[in-house]
Amino acid sequence: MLEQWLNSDAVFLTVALLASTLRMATPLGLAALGAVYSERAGVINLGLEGLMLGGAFFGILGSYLTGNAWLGVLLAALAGGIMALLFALVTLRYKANHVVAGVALNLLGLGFTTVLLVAVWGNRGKSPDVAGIYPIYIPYLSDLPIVGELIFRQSPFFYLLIILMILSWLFFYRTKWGLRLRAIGENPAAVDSLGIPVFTYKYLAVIAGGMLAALGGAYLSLGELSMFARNMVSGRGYIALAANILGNWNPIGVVLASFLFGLANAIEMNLQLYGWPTQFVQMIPYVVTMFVLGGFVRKVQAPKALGQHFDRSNTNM
Amino acid sequence: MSGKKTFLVVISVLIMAVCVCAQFRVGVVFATGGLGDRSFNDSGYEGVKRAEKELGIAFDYVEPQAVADFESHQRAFAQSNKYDLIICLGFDQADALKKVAKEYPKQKFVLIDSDVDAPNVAAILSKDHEKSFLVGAFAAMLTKDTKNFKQMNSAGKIGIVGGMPIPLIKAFAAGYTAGAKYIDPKIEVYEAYAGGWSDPAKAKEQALIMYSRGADIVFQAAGGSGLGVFKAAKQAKKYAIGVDSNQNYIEPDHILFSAVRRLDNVLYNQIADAMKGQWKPGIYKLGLKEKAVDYDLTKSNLKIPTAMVEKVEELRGKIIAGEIVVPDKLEDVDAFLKNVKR
Repeated sequence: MLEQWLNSDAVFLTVALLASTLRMATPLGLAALGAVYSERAGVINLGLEGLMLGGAFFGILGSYLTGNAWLGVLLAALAGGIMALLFALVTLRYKANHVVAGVALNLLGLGFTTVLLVAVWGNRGKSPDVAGIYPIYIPYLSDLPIVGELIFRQSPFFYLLIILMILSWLFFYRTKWGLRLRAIGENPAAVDSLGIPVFTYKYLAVIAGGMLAALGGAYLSLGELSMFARNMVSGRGYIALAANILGNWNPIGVVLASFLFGLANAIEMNLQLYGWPTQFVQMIPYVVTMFVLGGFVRKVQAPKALGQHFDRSNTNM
Repeated sequence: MSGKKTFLVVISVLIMAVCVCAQFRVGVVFATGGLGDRSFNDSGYEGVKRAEKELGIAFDYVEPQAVADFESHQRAFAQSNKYDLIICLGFDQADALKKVAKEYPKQKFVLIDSDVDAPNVAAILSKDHEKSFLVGAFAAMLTKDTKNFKQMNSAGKIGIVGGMPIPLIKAFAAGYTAGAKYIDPKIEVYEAYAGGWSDPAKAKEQALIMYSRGADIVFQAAGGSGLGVFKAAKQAKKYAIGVDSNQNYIEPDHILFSAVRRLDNVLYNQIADAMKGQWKPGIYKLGLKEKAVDYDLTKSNLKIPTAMVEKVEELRGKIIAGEIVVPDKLEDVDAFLKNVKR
């Protein structure tokens, strides 16, 4: 009886659907976690798309140069950190508008990855295939019915996402540094008056955010395709930003929101095969975004000082 | 003596200068996918490059990043008054070209993939449904050939992943479905669209879903996204069909063949006609008959049985002779199958 049920089409299709959901959600979740760090420090990060693209490119480059995909991941995170440092300098030191600087970062990401693609491989479209990061089968657990296939045969990036989600939550809600960072996003002047180095926190948070977003990009290139293709992030950075808002700037919330978007995506792809009108079906992820933001947005609370420039000379203490 | 020499030098310099000025110049505005797509744009580039080598033309090109940029690029080329022919690739250049062609009535334009009706535009449409018909026929025969292809199952299912559900791409799906069902009416064809031309991760996932549901062969018509279909074929140990240019070399153990369009031939011929003064504006639909589309078996490690190739060549003959009129809309496929003589 149980055997029969486990082998039924409905179970097979559901498991396949949820497995697609996790694959689609992983890059969104990593980038959305990155957004949490940056935005909790008061810096709007519209540059996720560019950071992810940078991560996707340098992940492949690192793997290409060293032959080791994990060194590629390391290089991706480093590159994301450096791009984010540039973003932090522009927004924090030179007080550029966060949104404008974020858009610039996206344009920069697309432009320089394409230029480097030509410079390194002489091809404008894609890189050659490199060693990638493949799903791992966790011994014993992966043989379990349903959950085995669903959870224990995933890409290492998926496990990384779950671990980083938990660590981030602990950081934000169980450490004094996390408390300070959250306070900086609400009222930097008050934190500054306590003698806490506000700018150091902001810089580090933006850099950490860039590294996480780059990991999301590296998942797409190293984890999914073992190659880089031009503009391959294809708008996921913006969806990740929406997931960050929907998840209420909370590490667990944003990852759950990413799963929701991943599910919408997976449903869209499956319904297409059943002959549903494509244009209608393709709206689903976006309608979900609008619906959810529209319905829940009153309950979400952005950091109060988000997008504002903090300047010690302006604080009248 | 030295005076004569100087005179000769001056004359030859002048002749060279005249040559340079009189050199036929072509401006190319590529589609947003850009060069390196190993497909649409690259195939067009090849044709212009061949014209440079064989016909001695000079050319400049731009790669716009967004649809909104087309108009300014077209106008910049036209305004310079330097180009004998301006070639615009991609259906989404049509709106911009309608405006620009009117502003520069003496400038000759070639537009690929859309039908702008203007006295100075040659609009060229490709009968992509014809080549899709041929590869669909191949796929229907191959998916049941479990003897020669170990990875095929006998489910009789194939798939196609398109870039966007626009009429142009739906014509691929229509031709493919018609070709497959012409061979075997029971074949089931999965159809999905990635929603963009540069999202290989999504196209890969879509192809994986098709393979997991029993499809053996997935045809891609999704530009840069389509590279993901090849990755899926490799991962699932299944088969794929390339598009527009010969993509077989990308995964030679998994790509059976490519449904190519010979955009190189088309552009080369346009340039050659313009040089000879035989260029004519109008709307042209070019297919198998004009050698504007074809399939390509080379560079794949997979060997297609000769009997199948003969069958498909027979179909090509019937299409060229007009005995088979391949539908370019999915809603016409059923009527086609009912009325076609087998």
